[in-house]
Amino acid sequence: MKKLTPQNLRYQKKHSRKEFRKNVKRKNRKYSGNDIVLKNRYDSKIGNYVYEGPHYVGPKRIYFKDLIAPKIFNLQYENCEKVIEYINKVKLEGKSGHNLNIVLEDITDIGEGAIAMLLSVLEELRAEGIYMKGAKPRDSEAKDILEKSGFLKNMETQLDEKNLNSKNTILKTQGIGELKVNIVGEIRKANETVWGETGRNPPLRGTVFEMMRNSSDHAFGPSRDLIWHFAISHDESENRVKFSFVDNGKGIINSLKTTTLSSVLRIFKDNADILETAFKDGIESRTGLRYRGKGLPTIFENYQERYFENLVVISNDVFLDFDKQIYKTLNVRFRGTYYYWRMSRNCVKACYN
Amino acid sequence: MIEINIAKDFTTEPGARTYDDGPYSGQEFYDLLLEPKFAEAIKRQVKLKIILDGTEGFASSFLNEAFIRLGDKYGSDVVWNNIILISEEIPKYITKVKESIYEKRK
Repeated sequence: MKKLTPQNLRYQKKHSRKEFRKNVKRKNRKYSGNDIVLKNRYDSKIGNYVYEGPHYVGPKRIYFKDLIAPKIFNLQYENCEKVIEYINKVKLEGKSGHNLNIVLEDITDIGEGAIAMLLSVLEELRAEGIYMKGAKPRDSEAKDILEKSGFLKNMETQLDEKNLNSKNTILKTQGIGELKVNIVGEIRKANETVWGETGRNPPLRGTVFEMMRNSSDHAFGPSRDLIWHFAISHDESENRVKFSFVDNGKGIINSLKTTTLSSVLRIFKDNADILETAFKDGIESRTGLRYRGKGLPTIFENYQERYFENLVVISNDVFLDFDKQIYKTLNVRFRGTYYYWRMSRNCVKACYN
Repeated sequence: MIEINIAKDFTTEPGARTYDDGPYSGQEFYDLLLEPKFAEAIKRQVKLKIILDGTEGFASSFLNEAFIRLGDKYGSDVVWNNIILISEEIPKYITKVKESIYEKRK
């Protein structure tokens, strides 16, 4: 009998009845509690979202492209490039028409900001009719943060009982009018976590409004195309609240470059220098040109007056961390703008009835 | 004296700059309340008291749009000398209003 070569053996294994059965079983495996499946899918023909739960059997088999998230999934300076690279890949594959399997299983460290940034891209792709599924982190701490974050609210999955009643949320918006109604309640809850009493916080509400307004200025089209995600994460034992705000606009740097003469921008060292100067209200003094955008300086002013702390901004290829004084141009670009900040008892109290 | 309490007479949740930005914008505040009340105050030769406390918080664009328009129409000094601003919660709003009154639109 002729001896089989390794290639023949591989071929036989691949096409054996046993392997075939295994593949069928794997593809038809039942939905488990660790899986995430998007509840609704946008059907462009009927112009609305349709329910397609985990057991939905479509007219044809749907193939998903696996995209494995980095183990450290937060937006601190040392980790942010890998996370942005991953999010860009998700966006690129989705825009190319691939259905996506967002594999979060290997994550051991996850940040609320990165969750909001990922959600912002997933929502954009979902609106374009891309199917998505995924799996939660195996690491219990990372899984708890994801489950509590509000990320899974629009998805078909099971949550651990202890994570069901979290105050954390991610507000999704399109249009200033829509967001402003929701943020007031969330800001009052944040005051309750930090100061032990509910009440108005005008500088904080003003800050979120500046971010929204600024996003509209840097939108790529009519403001209805803009999607914002405002994530609020409460740490009641530490009397601390973390906030993230992400938009899918053009980004501040891209926008400044389209509206400002390149000869003027040449006086800046790099993009990080431009953005840092814009926040510190120095564009006019550095360029001699009148700069009417007061939104970014107002955000920075509220930070400087310590109504909140730990302000981080990522826009296009710039990373700014004002607490750590990191002002860097990144090797990757994020299309849009991301803000992160924190309120704790170290901050100036603004809580009015 | 004529009085505007923004939280009571207009909204507790002021919006952004113009009508395009959504409801309760600075432009809407100017058209509906600020300009008519200021005109009335000038006519009656009394001051216009504006209470900024009690809202959920202002975006800089709201205050800027409303008061830059008022300064443009009546003149910066006339406006500044005929209004009384009350902002005990966040005193810096007074500085923002003053800057807007003296800012000239391009």
